[in-house]
Amino acid sequence: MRLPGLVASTWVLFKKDLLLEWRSRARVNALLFFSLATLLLFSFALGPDTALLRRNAGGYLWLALLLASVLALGESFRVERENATLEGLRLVPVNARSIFLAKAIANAALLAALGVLLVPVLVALLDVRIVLSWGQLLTLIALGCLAIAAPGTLYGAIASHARARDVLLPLLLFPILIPALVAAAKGTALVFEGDPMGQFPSWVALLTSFDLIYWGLGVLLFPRVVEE
Amino acid sequence: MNTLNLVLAAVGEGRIRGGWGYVWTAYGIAWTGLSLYALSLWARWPREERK
Amino acid sequence: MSKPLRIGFVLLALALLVSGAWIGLAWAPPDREMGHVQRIMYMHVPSAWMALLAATMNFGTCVAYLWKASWKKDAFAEATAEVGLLFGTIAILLGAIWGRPTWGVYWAWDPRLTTMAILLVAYAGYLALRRFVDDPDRRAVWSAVVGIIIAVDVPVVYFSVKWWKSLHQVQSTPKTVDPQMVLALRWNAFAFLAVLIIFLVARYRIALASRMRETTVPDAPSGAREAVV
Repeated sequence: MRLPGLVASTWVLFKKDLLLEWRSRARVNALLFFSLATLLLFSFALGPDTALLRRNAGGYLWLALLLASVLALGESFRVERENATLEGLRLVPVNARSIFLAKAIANAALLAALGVLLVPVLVALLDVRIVLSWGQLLTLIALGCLAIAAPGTLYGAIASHARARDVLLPLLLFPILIPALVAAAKGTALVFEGDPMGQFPSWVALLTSFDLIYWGLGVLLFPRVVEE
Repeated sequence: MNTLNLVLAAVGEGRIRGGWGYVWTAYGIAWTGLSLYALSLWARWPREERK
Repeated sequence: MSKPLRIGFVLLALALLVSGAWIGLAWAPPDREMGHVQRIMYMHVPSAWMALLAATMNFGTCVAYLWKASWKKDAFAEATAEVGLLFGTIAILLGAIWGRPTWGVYWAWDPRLTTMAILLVAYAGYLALRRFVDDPDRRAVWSAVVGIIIAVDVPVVYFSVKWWKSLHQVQSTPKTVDPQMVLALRWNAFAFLAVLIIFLVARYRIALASRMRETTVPDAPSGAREAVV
């Protein structure tokens, strides 16, 4: 399929996914409160030493996002499965790659919004400060959520059609995401604590390579996942 | 001369003395793992092939 | 392969293993620094090599399957994943036992160990996926996709020691190592390779038989019709 066609259909599908998410705002709210609850859990389980909590805040943020992503990704495909919409989309000859791109970008956007909303919570709960810039923090959140969304969407499609899908998705996804998790968490920790040795760019580089590789693989392999 | 002999003896064996416990544990785990897996293969062998 | 050849190969593997153990435990000298604990390396390193070899074969088979599907490729992919997981687990366990007296800890968060652990958990997930998908066609396609995604980690495991100069030793070259130790390592490596081949062939046969059972459709009056391989 030629590029303009791909972009156009991706955009249409993306708007559909966002519209679905907007219409079920309750689900998005639930995700937000779930993430808040997760952060509270971490604080209680690993507190009350505030200095320690503040040092690990970057890790907690990404763990909370990772756990929320499993729910979000599961939901994303449950809707499709319950209404057999994936099959419907395939009947209208829509390029499967558009489906992947639209879903993955929508999932990434949802997670990034969640991430941004959690930052003030971190500031309040864990006494976190943004020592580097907001721009760097937002870059990390964007790259990290893109990293979760690509393999997440691919595996979400697979898991939604398998047994024990609630266990299978995290089991498949978490090992793959560890390098991205490390990079995002370490980078975020630098944003919160300062970066005297200039390590921030190398974590961004790692995240970017991760994103490029897994988005490439996702676009390449998704059609095989949804074909009949 | 005594200390020199002690040092030479020590260098001959390596800085970590003994450690055979670790070695046997390691070899034991490896052999057990391989054997158990071989057993599982035999147990799962397709029925038609068995005499 | 004929029966006597098969039995011969199994006996060869056993002979290599036993002699390799003697060479590693008795014949090779103790290390200058590590002493006898060094001998664990003669099992740990070959295990790790076989695990990575199996992972590479899994990747190749997954790509080949997506290129042109066949039950043989799917069966072999299943075999390489399971056998690779076995050798990888042995490698990590032996590494931990070696690490206790030498590094002082069973585990360290260095890139080689973490990426290897990731690889093993990933293959466990791969095997879980295969267990939870009932349709053989979809199972084969999805496993192939997952196998390819996992394979991205393999070169990272291998090169992590070079890229991040961290705790795990860099690969030694034979030029700097005592020739007796080199022999012990190489001998055991061949022993493990023989075992790998036997396990892979056996596991492949089991998987293929299972595939045939799943996909053979009996015709109404006249018995079984073979599925296309």
